[in-house]
Amino acid sequence: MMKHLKSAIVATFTASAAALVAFPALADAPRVAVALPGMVTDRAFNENIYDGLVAVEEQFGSEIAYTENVSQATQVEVMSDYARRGYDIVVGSGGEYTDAAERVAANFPDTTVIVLNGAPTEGVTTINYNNPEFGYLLGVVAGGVSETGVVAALSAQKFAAFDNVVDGFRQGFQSVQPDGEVLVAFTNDWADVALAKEASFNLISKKADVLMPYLDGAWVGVVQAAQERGVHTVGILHESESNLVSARLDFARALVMAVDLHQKDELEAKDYVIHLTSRDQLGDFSVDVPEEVQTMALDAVEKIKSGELKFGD
Amino acid sequence: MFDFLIDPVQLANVLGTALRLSIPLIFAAMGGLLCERSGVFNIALEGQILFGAFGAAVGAFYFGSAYGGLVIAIAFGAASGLLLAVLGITLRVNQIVVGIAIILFATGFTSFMSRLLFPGGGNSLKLDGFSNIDIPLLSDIPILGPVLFSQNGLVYVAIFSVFAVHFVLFRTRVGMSIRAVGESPAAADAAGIHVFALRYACVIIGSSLAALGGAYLVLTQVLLFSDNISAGKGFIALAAIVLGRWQPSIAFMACLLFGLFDAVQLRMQFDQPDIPYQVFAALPYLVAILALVGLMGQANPPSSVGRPYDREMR
Repeated sequence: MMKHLKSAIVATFTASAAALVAFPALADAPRVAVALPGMVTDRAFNENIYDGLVAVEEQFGSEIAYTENVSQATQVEVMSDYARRGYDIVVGSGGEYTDAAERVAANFPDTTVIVLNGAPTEGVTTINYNNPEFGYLLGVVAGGVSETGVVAALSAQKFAAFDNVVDGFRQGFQSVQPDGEVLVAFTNDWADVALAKEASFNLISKKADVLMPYLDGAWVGVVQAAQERGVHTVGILHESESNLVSARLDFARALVMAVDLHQKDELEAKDYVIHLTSRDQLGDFSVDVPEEVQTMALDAVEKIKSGELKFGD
Repeated sequence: MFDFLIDPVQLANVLGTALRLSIPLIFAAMGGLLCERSGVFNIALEGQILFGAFGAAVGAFYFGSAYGGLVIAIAFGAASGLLLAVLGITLRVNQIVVGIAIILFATGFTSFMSRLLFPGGGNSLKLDGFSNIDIPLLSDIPILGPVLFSQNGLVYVAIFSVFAVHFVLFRTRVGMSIRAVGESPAAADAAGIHVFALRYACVIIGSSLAALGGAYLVLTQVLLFSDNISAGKGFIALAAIVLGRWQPSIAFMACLLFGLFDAVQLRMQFDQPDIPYQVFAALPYLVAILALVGLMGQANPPSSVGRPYDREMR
């Protein structure tokens, strides 16, 4: 029932948007649809992908559509529906979409199926960031700023992509503070702000003074707790002024890249990995990050670029 | 593993977390309990927490004060209670169905409206909230002082609501009428009690109480509104009512238990990295199941709960 209400709302929105804004529709602009696990207002993963979708609309004149809060059980249905309605590119947002994407890709060979942040899957285009690289960079900055020698990473669930981020984070942190400790906590809820805040208070009472939230809407609770107790945050999925720095897994950029390749007829059903190789993938450093730590971080980017620092594949 | 029990600072921290996590449960459980005692199932608690949270954000945002938020939160709660009462009591729609409908409506309505009303979305707000009140002398007691007597005003209101609900239900004439209506509305009606009026009152007041749980989340804990901020707390409150066997004092302790285990599981996760964190995350629910099957014996709900009263029915 809610799903219907939501799709009705989305449909109305899309329809009225189409009516109001005369699309500069290029004849060959691909139509792009996205299935999202959460809300586009989370100012994190979901909103990031939504921003990418809007960028695709502006840049290529594509017709776009999206469905929010797609549960595991309805992934195949939502994505198949878009494929049936003639969307050229159908995107699943997150690793939990790979199974659904594989089925949809098999059923609709003319549709390009993309999974962002998902493991390599047959018949599907997967786009990933090299997670440890981004974790490493944040770890270096955390190591340069932490006074207690304890930092923490926080997510809702344990899964491969997050583990990889944490591995990099730990290596980066311990490259600066070899005896430093990285705590990891799970809240079991991507969007529960209050619980994330309490979990952060807990980590802070365990002496953690730099927190890395890997959460959807709930990251706000982590930032609030950090501000109230005078400790720091770094951003991997969210950007916020209070971060020491953000090394964002920017899936907006990834989506635009994919559509661009599709336009050039070069997009293949394979795994694309984006590396941390340029300064502009980082947000601004806050005033709490000393000059020499900033230099250290930028050095790390250079080392990743030159291949001196390598993580996994 | 339990080293936080020995260190007073850590212990105060865990207990503080436990209390803060259980306050929305306490409000919702007391509200739901009042409704069920009068014979109306209120499974819409989850939606009413959400309405309360949204109303609090709207009020605090537009009036610029936490009290404004509180008033609007109560108004939203009362309105959702009125809806439940009209449909479930007067029109005799199945109360479970109405409850689910209210939850679904609250989810959609609050996410949609928060995008319209709040610039940049509800989670970019920075609302004026209530600050902590230190009760003189008492707040200086080690461990318990900071946990119990250096809290937010709404925390004291939550604890007061437990006493109030208990007092009204078991120590006043009105309370006896409420319980009578919940057990046997026909007999109560014959004795001259206004069944419908009393049920309406209980549902509207109970729903407003549940909404206070949402107001607490917004006005003291996070100072912003985010979609689905209730995150299942209403359902846990329902479990607390059953676990508390429809007694305010036991339901209150059940809420504290859930809050405590939530706090302890957050703490134990990283003390015991070898045990999968899911074990700890499941702990509060495991405790609930164990308590329901083993320790508490048979649960006896008010016998007319969920059955709309019809004067003409034999």
